[in-house]
Amino acid sequence: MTGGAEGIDTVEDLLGARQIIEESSAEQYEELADSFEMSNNVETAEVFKWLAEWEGEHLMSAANGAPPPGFQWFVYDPGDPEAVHYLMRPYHAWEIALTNEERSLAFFQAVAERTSGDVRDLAWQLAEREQEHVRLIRDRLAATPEPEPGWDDDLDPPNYDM
Amino acid sequence: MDSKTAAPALTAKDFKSDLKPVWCPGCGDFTVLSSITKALAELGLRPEEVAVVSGIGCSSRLPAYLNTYGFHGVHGRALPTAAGLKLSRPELTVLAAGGDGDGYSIGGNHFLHAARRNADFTYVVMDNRVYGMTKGQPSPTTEPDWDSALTPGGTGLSPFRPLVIALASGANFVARAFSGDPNGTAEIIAEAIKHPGFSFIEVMSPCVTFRDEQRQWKTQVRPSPVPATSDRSQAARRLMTDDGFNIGILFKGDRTPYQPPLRARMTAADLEAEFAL
Repeated sequence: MTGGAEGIDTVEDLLGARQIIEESSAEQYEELADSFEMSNNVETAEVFKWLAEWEGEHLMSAANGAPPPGFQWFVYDPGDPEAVHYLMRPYHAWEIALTNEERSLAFFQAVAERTSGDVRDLAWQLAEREQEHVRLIRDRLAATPEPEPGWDDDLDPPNYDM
Repeated sequence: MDSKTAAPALTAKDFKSDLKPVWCPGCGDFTVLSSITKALAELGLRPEEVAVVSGIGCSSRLPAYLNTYGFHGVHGRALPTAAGLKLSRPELTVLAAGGDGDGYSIGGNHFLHAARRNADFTYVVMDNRVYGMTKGQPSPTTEPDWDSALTPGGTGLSPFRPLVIALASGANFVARAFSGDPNGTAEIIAEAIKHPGFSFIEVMSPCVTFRDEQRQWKTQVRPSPVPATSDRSQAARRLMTDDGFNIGILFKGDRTPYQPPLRARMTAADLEAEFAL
């Protein structure tokens, strides 16, 4: 589903991978924000909008590198239709973001463990930064009310089963 | 073009427009859109070299979300429009896109004849086996026992088999993709665009709103165990045992694309004369 740490051998590779992670996350959060806005799920759309802007800020501060060929990043598994639901609550949006940040952290840690020298130092530096992001998103998640049971019940369902 | 004048390589993002898709969150069409933009970027095309034509339906909104030339046309009529465009502007890379209702019901007749005519363009059908935009009526590919308020007990009708029809009608490239595999879908789309003649790709694209059970597709699809064949009879035999979940390129033929010689274009003065009262 995502690019692995294998193939990251130089500082340029690593900066490129970081750029893809930030860029793809910003784009996909924005796509989700638009999609939830169109579904009139405004609260969840706002969380994704915030996340898109937040990732966009990281992108602006990211130094350019050359992404390794084929390296890709997905905020959620596009092959999993259960990953998002049109009635999902802000809590679920923060959960998606937390998983994404934890995966980024694991990626940079994996790069640090398999490289040496400048690449290793930079990977640890980026992992530390991701650790901060994980903490921040975890705080946001903790401050968000958990969805009540039946959050996905639609009183006006699109399709009535017989 | 030398290195001083070469245009910079484009990315998938360069092919997306600023319009926000109106698709439901989690809709498979999002990844089909991304796969198309990825394929166009990887082929080194530029937006002004591409035209995407569609009919009506959720997936037929796709041209609006692209930065290429686009034509959002009449229900079921994407294929004749795309064929006409390709025949008159052969230098353009032409794609037609739409859904199962648009392509197999309203446009079913055009589907047969587009495959038979074999003009050089690619048809991407996002098949979710339901009319989503009009709130969940069964489409030609809907299972006969799909029970809904609109079709209690199901339609009882045998589903349309798009790959069989495409192959039998003469399509020169026939494939099936799954929207949950954006990279694989992009590769198939790129191969289809490169292949001469009428290329048909059936993309299984779940409707998360009206066909909840399609969430299971992710566990049912599998890469085709055999490589593409250029033997139409062999492809047909494979389809006899196909359960609808094999993903990949089924057939790559060698028919010569239909392309009549271009006639000289009219001048503006000629056109004006034709419209003069």
